[in-house]
Amino acid sequence: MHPPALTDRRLTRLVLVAALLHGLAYFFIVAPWMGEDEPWQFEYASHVADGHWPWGGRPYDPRAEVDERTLMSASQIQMRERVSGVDDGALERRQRAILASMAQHDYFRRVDWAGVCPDRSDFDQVEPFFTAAKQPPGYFAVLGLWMWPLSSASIDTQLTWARCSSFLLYLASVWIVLQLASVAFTDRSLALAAVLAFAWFPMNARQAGVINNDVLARTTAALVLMLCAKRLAGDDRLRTLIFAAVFAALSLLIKPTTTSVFVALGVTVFLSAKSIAGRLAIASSGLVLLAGAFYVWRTQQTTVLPRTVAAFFERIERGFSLETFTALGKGFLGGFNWLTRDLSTPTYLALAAFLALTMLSGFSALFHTRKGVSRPVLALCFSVVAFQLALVVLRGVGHGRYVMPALPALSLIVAVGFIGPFSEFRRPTALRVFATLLCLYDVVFLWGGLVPNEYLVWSS
Amino acid sequence: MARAVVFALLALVVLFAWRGEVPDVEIRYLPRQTQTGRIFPDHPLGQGFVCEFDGLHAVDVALAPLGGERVDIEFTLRADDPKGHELRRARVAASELPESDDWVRFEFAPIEDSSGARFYFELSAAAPTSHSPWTRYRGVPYMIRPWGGRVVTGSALEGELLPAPPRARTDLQHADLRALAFAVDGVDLAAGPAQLTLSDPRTGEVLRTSRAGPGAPHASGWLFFEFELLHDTRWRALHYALELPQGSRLIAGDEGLSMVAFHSSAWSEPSVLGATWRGEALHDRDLVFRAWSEGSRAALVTRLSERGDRRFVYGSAAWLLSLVVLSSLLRRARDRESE
Repeated sequence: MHPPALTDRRLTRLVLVAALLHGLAYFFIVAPWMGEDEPWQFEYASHVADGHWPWGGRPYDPRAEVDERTLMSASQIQMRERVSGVDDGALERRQRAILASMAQHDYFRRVDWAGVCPDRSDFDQVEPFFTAAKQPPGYFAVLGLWMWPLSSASIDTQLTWARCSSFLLYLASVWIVLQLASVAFTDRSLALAAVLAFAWFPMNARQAGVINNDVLARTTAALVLMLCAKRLAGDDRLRTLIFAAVFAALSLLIKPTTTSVFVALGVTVFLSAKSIAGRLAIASSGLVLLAGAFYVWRTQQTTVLPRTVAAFFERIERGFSLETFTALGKGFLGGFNWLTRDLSTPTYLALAAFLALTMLSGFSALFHTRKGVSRPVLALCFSVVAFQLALVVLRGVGHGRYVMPALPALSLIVAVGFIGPFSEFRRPTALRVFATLLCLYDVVFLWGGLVPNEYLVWSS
Repeated sequence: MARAVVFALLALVVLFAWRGEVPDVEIRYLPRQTQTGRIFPDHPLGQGFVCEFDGLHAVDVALAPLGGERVDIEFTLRADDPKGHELRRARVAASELPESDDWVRFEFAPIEDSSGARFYFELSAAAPTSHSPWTRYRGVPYMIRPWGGRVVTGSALEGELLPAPPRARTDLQHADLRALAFAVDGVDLAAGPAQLTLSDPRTGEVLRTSRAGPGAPHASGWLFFEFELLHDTRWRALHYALELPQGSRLIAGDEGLSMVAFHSSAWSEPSVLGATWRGEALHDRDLVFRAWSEGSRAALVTRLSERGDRRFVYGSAAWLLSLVVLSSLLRRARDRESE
């Protein structure tokens, strides 16, 4: 293994303190219920916090004497199908309590498509048939456990407490990326640039203040990537690989968007094999795994992948459309009030151009020596980002947060792309310029986008 | 530290750049679904609102083009009441009306002491207009059968709202049905009333009746029938019957009459006072509009302090401190490199 870039403990402490304060800013400023899908995900976790398992619920009975759909909303029926042992009255009361809190905190004035009517009896009156119950149970089991000590507190208190877990996960992610950067780079400026890119990226910092399974998905993906990078950087301990495999498997219980971690794992195993025969064996194992994945796809219900060839091509067409990539770019670079409001077009174009240029520059580092950069780790990062984008195309839905599991990899690429071309002597200056640009982006995002949209422009 | 101060100042500049972008009162209504219809001579359409700040100087109204001959649209602003004292007048020439769905601005001399005052504006025209304001009905829409491509004529029309199956998706998914809106090509309510009757298709029991008003010609817009909340509407079947004046023309699509069902109880809104039609208040709906008063820094600060509470202060402080620590971090990194 090469010497790590960040051996200065005071420096790493400063990085973490800066990230803590930055995350705290977003934790406080993001208004209640302003995380996309937050009410639905909170509802799910709150039932788990009440002592119900996030599986084994009671299914809808089409032969019931009275059609249950006339008695309960679709979202309540779906939640009851998922969560075990929860009674119908509790489902209705919980949704009403959350809706009351949403109205009290002016959710309906902020989210333009929701309409300002404050009096709603169930979640379907916000978004019909929508639910978090179809999501994998991992995040809700963890969040439910976290919320359990305060399960009898008010909805507002529970929401704040639940958001604290997102804040801690943000901090944990920054620490993981710090470790990742330390094994990927021997140059301090490169490592710091990567961590700052991750911690200061506004849509990521915003996740310190919202409830969403994307938050845990990002942290788990960062952990797997870090373990894989360690392996590629020369950590031959078997347990590193085992941990990576275990966390990769667990990530599937959190959100399907983390599938890219298996690519990271595969690339790592392949690159760390010491002989051609070994690589062939690994490639064969990969094919077997792919066949297994194909079998699972054919036998399980999932909205993530298309189920027929026609649907597959339809998804691809939709996924490659300008609309999808525009929505993806806006949602990734900066969208507000449940993505109903945007930054200005020139801002998006400038950010996209910067990202494209740094990625291009980072890509060239795969073929030209950049001092202090581990090329295998960089290749690993590119494979993760490419697969993550492929997943979005396959899904056909351009939500920026679906790319978040690849953000640690992207942060490393951007750092290499911006700082890498400079000589070692110039890199500290380049780092300061990079940090200044990040702060500028943060100012525009927070004070020119998030704050005005969440606090100044409301619907009457 | 200097870096933190520079960015803090920059943040203030970026934030206060919004002072010209924040309306005093605004109805944000997306997606826009129900337009009011053409404005007929002697049947002005309007809206009431309460200004938050001083210096009211413009009102934007969202207009949808309907086709037909363009005419100028007059704007009248009154104080306190739909028939109150006239304060300002403005006009948008026919040639300035938009080609597509867009805001149209009516500007006038600023009203210095507009803070806290009630205003009503009215839109009128010398001939039926080629554009229609959008209306936001105060309810939660669910079943939305959009504006269709054919016209159905008749004075007695009926149909059913059904669950799934037989529908692919239930017509009524929520409880608390409160209103139905029908797309209208032309209904002259001055020639006679329009009545909606809702009944149980199994028993024939009449559940609700509603009359649409006020008496005025109605063209290329949506006609709303409001009734007392019908609570148990979730996933149930309802029969509806419309009695309309002779010569009425409704709009239909592939699924039947173009219509929208609204649920949930009514609510009042302190800053918007409801739409008006010929000076008569319609508290169940609003025109889609926004009013602009003086965009001062003080107004922005007032709004931030009222809406942001302590969390906002803590967040701002944490953000500033994060910049200080970041500066310190970069300084230390530079020092380490030079060692």
